Order: sequence, then C-alpha cells, then structure tokens
Amino acid sequence: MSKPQTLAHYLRALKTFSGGRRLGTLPVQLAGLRPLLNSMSSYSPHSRDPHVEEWNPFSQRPIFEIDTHLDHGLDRDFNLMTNTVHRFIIMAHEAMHILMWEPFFTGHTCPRACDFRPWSLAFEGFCFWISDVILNRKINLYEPDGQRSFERYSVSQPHFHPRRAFADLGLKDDASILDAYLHAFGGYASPLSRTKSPIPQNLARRAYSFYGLTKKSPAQMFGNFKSIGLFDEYFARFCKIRAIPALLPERILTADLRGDLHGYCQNIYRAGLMHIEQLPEFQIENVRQRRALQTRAYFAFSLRFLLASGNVLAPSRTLLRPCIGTIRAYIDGLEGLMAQLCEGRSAPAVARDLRELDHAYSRDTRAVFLRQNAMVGRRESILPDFPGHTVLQPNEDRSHIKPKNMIAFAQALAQHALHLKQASLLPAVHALMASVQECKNANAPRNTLHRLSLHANRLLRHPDFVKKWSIPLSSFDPAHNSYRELLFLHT
Amino acid sequence: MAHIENQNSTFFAKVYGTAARSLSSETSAARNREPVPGLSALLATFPTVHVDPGTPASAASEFVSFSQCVDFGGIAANPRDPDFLRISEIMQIYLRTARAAVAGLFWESFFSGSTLPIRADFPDRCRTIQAASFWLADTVVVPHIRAATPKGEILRSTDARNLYPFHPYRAFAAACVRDPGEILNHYLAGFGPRSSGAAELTRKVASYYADDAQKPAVARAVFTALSEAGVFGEYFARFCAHRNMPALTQEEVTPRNLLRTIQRLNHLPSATLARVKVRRALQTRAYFAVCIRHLIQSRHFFSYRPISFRHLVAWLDSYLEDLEDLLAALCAGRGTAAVDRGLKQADLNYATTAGDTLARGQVWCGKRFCLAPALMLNLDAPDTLAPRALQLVQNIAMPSVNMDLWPRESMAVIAQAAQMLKRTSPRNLGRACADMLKMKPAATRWSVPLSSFQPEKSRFRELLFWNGLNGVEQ
Repeated sequence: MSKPQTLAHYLRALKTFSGGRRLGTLPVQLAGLRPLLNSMSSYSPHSRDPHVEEWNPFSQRPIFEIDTHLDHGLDRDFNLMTNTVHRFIIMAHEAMHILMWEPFFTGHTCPRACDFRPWSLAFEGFCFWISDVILNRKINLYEPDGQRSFERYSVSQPHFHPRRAFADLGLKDDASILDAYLHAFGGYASPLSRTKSPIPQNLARRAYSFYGLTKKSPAQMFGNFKSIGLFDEYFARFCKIRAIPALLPERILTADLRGDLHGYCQNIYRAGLMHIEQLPEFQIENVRQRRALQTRAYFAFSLRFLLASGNVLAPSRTLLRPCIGTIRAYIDGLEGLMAQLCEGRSAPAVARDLRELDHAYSRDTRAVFLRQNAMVGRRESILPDFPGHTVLQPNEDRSHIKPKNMIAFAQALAQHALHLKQASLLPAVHALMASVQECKNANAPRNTLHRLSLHANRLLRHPDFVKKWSIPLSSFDPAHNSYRELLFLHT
Repeated sequence: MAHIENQNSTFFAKVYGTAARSLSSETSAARNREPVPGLSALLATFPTVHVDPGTPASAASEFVSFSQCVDFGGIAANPRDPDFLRISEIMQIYLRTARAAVAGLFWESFFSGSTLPIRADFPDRCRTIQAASFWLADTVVVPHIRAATPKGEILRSTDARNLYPFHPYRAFAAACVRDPGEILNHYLAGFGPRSSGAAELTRKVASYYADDAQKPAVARAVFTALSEAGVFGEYFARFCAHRNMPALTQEEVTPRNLLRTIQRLNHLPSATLARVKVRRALQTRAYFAVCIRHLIQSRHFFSYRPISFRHLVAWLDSYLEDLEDLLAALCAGRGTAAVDRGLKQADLNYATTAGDTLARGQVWCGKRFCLAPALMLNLDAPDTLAPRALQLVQNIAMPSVNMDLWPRESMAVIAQAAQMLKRTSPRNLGRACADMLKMKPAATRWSVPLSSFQPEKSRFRELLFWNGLNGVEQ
C-alpha cells in the first residue's frame, strides 16, 4: 500500500471509530485486529491538557488520544504520520487489554484478589509485545524525507526499537519473545534480565520498572471493583449468561488462567486472533452490543454504589435519593436486554431498545444530576499517587489511618491544591497546612488528627478543588455513548 | 589540579562515545569523530560551571552570553552507563551547551575588545546569533549524532509536544533543500521580523521556533539591564578592551563564516585555547562582580539578616582590581599556570571578604528581569507589582510552598498571600507583594542569593536575569 493511501485509510479509520461506526481497512494489518476494534462500542478519550487518561479495561473502552497537535511548523507532515500511527497502535494495545479479560466478560473466569496483579501484569506484557513486536514491524510507512517510520524507535520506546533487543539476544521467533515479555512484566527472570548488552538492558529496565511501579494500582482497582459488586452481582447478571456473545473460542475462554497464565496469553496469539478474524460479521455485532450493555452496566453499578453509600456532592442529597431506584430500573433494563441478546435476538433490535432505555435514563436520572449539579463524592487516586492514603472523599472516616500516613496525605492534598494556582483555595490550604504543622508538633494526638481530617474535608469540598479531583455524575451519559471514570482519578 | 577546569568537552565526548558504541555497529575510529570539527575546541575554552546542590534546573537557561557560562555541569553521572534515557538527557544538554558556546563565539569581538554593541542593533544581532546557533545545532550537529547512532534515536525534538523525535534538517531534506547556506537563509529570515512575503519554509521555521525566538522587547530589556550594570561601560573598558587579548579569532564572526570559524579552531594551538579559557574565567568573574556591585550600589537587594555594607563595595573593587591585573598580565604574555594561581588567590580573598559577608547576611537580588515572559520584578517599585498581585500569588507564592523543606516559611507565604489579596489600596498591595516576594520560598522562585557567586568553587548563578515564570502576562 502506498503511503498516502495508508495515511488516508488511517485517518478515515480514526474518524469512523470516533463516530462509532465500523472500521474499514486498517493501516496495520493483523489477523483479528479489525474485528476486535469493531467489537468496541465506545472509547475512553485521552487528552493531555487537561490530562485525562482513564485506563480501565473493565469499562471496555480502549483509550483513544483525542488531542491534535498539527500546526504549520516544520514538523507538521512528520507529526501527521507518526502521531496518527502512534495513536492507532496505542488504540490497538488498549483494545488487546480488553480482549485479555474476555473470559471474565463471558462469565468463564472471575479473578480473585491474589490473581489480579499477576494477571494484569501478564496481560500488560502481552499488549506491549503485540504493539512492540507484532504491530510495529507491520508499519510500512516512510516519513517525508524517506526515512522508514518507527525504524529507530517504537511506540513504547522513544530511543530504540525493541526488535533490536531481541536480535541482540538471538531470540527470533515471536513465541519466545512473548515469553520474555511475559516473564519480564511479571517480575520473573528472563533473557532480558540476564543480558549485559545495552539495547536489551534498556528494554529490561523499562519492563522490570513497570513491574515495580504497579504494586499498588491493581490492589486499588480490585478493591473498588469489589465494592461496586463487579465480581459478584455484575459478573452473575451481565457476564455469566448462557450463550453470551464471545470473541474467543470456548477452549481459550475455559483455559485455566491460574494454572497456566502464560499459556493462555500464548494461545490468544496462536489461535485466538485468527479465530476472531474468521468470526462472522453478525457475531462481531453481537459482541459489540454485549459491550454496549456491559459498559453501561459497569457505570450504572458505580453510580448506584456512590449514591447508596452517600458519596455524592450535591446541594440536596434528598432530591437524589429517588435516583437509586431509577438506576436499579436501568440496570434491570440492561439485564433484560442482555438476556434477549444471549437468547438470539438480533443486535440491531437490542440496540433499538437500548436507545429507548438510555433515553429514559437521561430523562429520569441524568436530568436530576444535571439539575442538582451532583458531583462524585469519592474517588480513588491512581494517578497522582498520594502518599499515605489514596481515597479522596470529603466525608470519609479516617480514624483507621496511621497518623504518619494521615499527615503525609493531608500535606500532599495541600500541595496539589497549591499547584492549581487558584487564589480562592488559599484560606482552606492555609488552615490545612496549619493543622499539619500542629499534628507534627503535637506528635499527632487523636484530637489534632481529627481536626486535620476536618480541614482535609474542607479543602476537598471546596468548589475549586472539587473540580480537580471529582467529576459530575452526569458524565455518565449513555444516550451519547459518553462516559468518564467515576471510581478512579487518573489525572 | 588547576583552579580553572574544563570537563565539559571530555564528559560529553565520553557520553557520545557510549551512545555510539551502544547504537552503532561501526568501528571505534568512526564513532569518535566529533560532530563538528572544532566544536570540542570551542567547548574546551569555556571553564566548567559547578552547580550548588538544590539549584533549579531552569537556572541553566538564565545565563546570558555575556557571563560566558555555557554549561550547567551538575551531571553527576557515569558517562559510560548505557542508559538511553539518561544519555538522551545529557545529549540534550550537549546541544544546549553547543548553542550557547556558538552564541558566545559570536560575541568574541566584544570580549576581545574590538566591538561594542549598540542599542539600536542589539535585538537584530541577538536574533541573528540565535538563528545561527540553532541552525548549526540543527543542521550540522544533530545529523552527525544521528548518523553515528543509527540503531536508535537518542536526541529529542526541540518541540516537546512531538510524540516522536523530529529534527528540522529532515524537513529541509524532505523539501530537497540540502545546501547549508540556503537553510541558513531560512533560519535567519525565520527568526527575524515577520514578513508576509516569506517563503513557506521560512514561515515554517518561524512557526517551529516561535516560542524560542527572542522577542525584540526582551533583547532591549537585556541591553538596558547590562548597560545599567556597567557591562558595556566599565566592564568593557577594564576587562575586554586590552591589547593582545587572547581570542579565538580576529575576524568578526558572522552566520556565513560561522562553520569555517569553528572548523579553524581545530587548528589553533592548545596554548591559545588555554589562554582563551583563562580569559573567560577572568571575564566571567568580573561580569558577576560588576553585577553584584551594581546591585549593592543601587540598593537592589534584600537581606534576611542585618549586615554591614561598609566594606562590601571596597572588597568588590579590590577583587575587580585583582582580576584586572591578572587579565593585564595574561595579555602581557604571563603563563596560564601563573594566572591560574593568582586567580585562585584572588577568589579565596573574595570568598573570605565579600563572599562571606553576603552569605552571612543572606543577601538576595531585589530586581531581576524575567526573560520569558518578559517581566521586570523590582521590589523597589511596588506600584508595578500591585497590578500583578494575583498572578504573583498564583505563579510564585503558591507553587513555592514546600512543607518538607520550609514548613514555617511556607505557612507564612500562604498567610501573607491570603491576607494581601484582601487589601484594596494599590500602594499597600504593592508593598505587601514585595514582602511576599521576599519570603524565602517565594524568593527562590524568582530571585537568587548574591552569595551564589562563589568563584573559589567555580559556582555561578545569573544575577540580573531569570527564566520560567509561566502564566504571568507581560
């Protein structure tokens, strides 16, 4: 394919994807990728300023970079190509993350707390491998000066291409390279950990540091998912359903992830992607519809949890109380549609009814949120990583937090508020800082810690700070297929 | 060990060697070639600047050419460590250092006493120098480094918004423009005043470097500040306009002869390079001593402790005289080792007199010009601060708070900021702004202690200029 054609196809593909319609030809061909992307029903917008990057495979929205940096400078034509291809590869990487959890979404496997981190890391290794090794080598583009694109770097490595690392290590076949990725991301010894050669050493540094950096976030995510009922009620009502549309064949879906996690990942590449490639179009449509229902259910469960636990910021919470009932009704409606889909009703017919259900939700529930200007009252911060404590919740009982951690948390809150450069926050920040000092000087007795917690609450409730860490409940807008992560802060 | 050191070029050469060894399969002979013949010789004439721990990284971009401080030292790293992320950061510093050294070369005629800049030409001259420095780095240095590291991409783009490294010479290659002279024309025009009839490539250069190109207003303010400090008067007369001043070239450096001039440096005797290095060491010290004396005499300072200024100016004068004598001796042909020994003694004398007094009194600059965006902060002119009170709170006071480093002072800054925004009288507000800017955490964001000039340790911070006040309008 010539370069202008490729680029045009890609741009059209991005546009098509954003518009929610099916993809045509992709710039990078990989068996199973096109149907996989077509099975996605929505995306998670990634912007740089303000920084929003809500990574969460359980919402089934691949991250999609929405910023455009195309000025008329010298770099314009170069950026047009590399940045768009970069976005595509990232999107594919993120879609793979969602694919890896297919056994969960189809009711075959439910992770336990002890599974979550090793599974997440192995899946990360797989997704990096597929973008670094498989997709990158399929990029057949030349930049305007004739240099082959993504030759000296890759999507994950700005300084070198990972294939050179494996060439140096003498690893030639994809399966053994995948094995090295899975081991390295899982923190196990691998050919990468034993090398003294510079390029493999640099790749190893990256992979093993990923392992080191992800000690906390899987536990945070698992805890929140558990609290909304993702692994019990959601799994039972929206995943564990007979004949639920699936992308992967039964033998992969029923694989023993606890026994042979790496074998599962190898099988996805060996057989899974080809299986997806050969699926009939209607089956892709069905999976797409399944995701549409599951995504909505995931967010509805999150909302229900926030409302039921009183973690909402609004002038009158009494007026929001009826919304718990309407959300339950919405979830029931979604469950009913999922049952119909699994019983063989056509995806377009389910989609028609879903539109009506979404419309009713907008009218009965979202409209109330908008009127009340209701905001999420509890979010767990994945990024930034607050020291001491990571939950941002103005009415939280923090008596269980160790004094040292509480002080570190309060201090970090004050620093974050100061970085917002909003003068209106100064009195609340000053009070919190004074309280931090008081706790430090008084060796943190119970009453000063209680005061510190109250000052933290005052800052967390400040309207100019709420904008930083919270989002409106109305950001769950299924009628427009638009969502924001309610449980986590990723900015 | 000599008092005046130069570790820049050897350190960068080692890092470059590590990068080339890791990302090339060529033989060592090919790897060790320097990006531009003569560039290492030029870098070797700039004495190393050591960095005080805790100095913000942005301080490196505060130096103006007239201090002749081109590098930021401070890279505490093993040059043989093949960590590409770290190598990439160091090579970025190398490029910045090379550009600053090239800019310094353009002012060689000033430092050797043959040309004195005039106000009317200054903005144009600064822009020309900037354009030529970027041109040399972009079209000569960068392609060479990339060619030496074909297995990787060790240099970042100038424009941080790019997801992947882009290098301007590639855009010219794509447009089939390969003649360096023709590319230089686009750079000179692109960094110059906007013209509606400019060629497309010129417009693209202008757009690409829009944030970097120095505005005429900034250049004029730099000229004014340097003139007020006496750099174009007394400093020039006493420390530049000497007969037989060691110089890298007798010819006026222009963009057209820049490459040729640098290449010729490779053929200069090492003794000449060493004499220029010593000259720079003397001139750098004289530049900062002149600036400190100016700030003291015009009372553009504030101090955290009571201090007696009775002897300070006399000590500075004495130090300047020592430097002048050493420079005269160098010009008269005295050996560099002897001048180096003399300078070490003069620096020690300074450290035990003026340096010690300034450090004990914790004396800080009270007037400093921000280069980007152009903004003068002058504590003696509170009326000019009052209209910016909110911006100063948001962009200096609030980000300056550090509860671990300065818990009490940070509290005081926030209390002062909160209190002063309640004031309505512009006069009171201006004074309150000045008080807030003097508080230690806030002061570290925009000012600098005069004791950061520590010649005995080869530690310098720019005193008249600073950088990096984001969010404040001009």
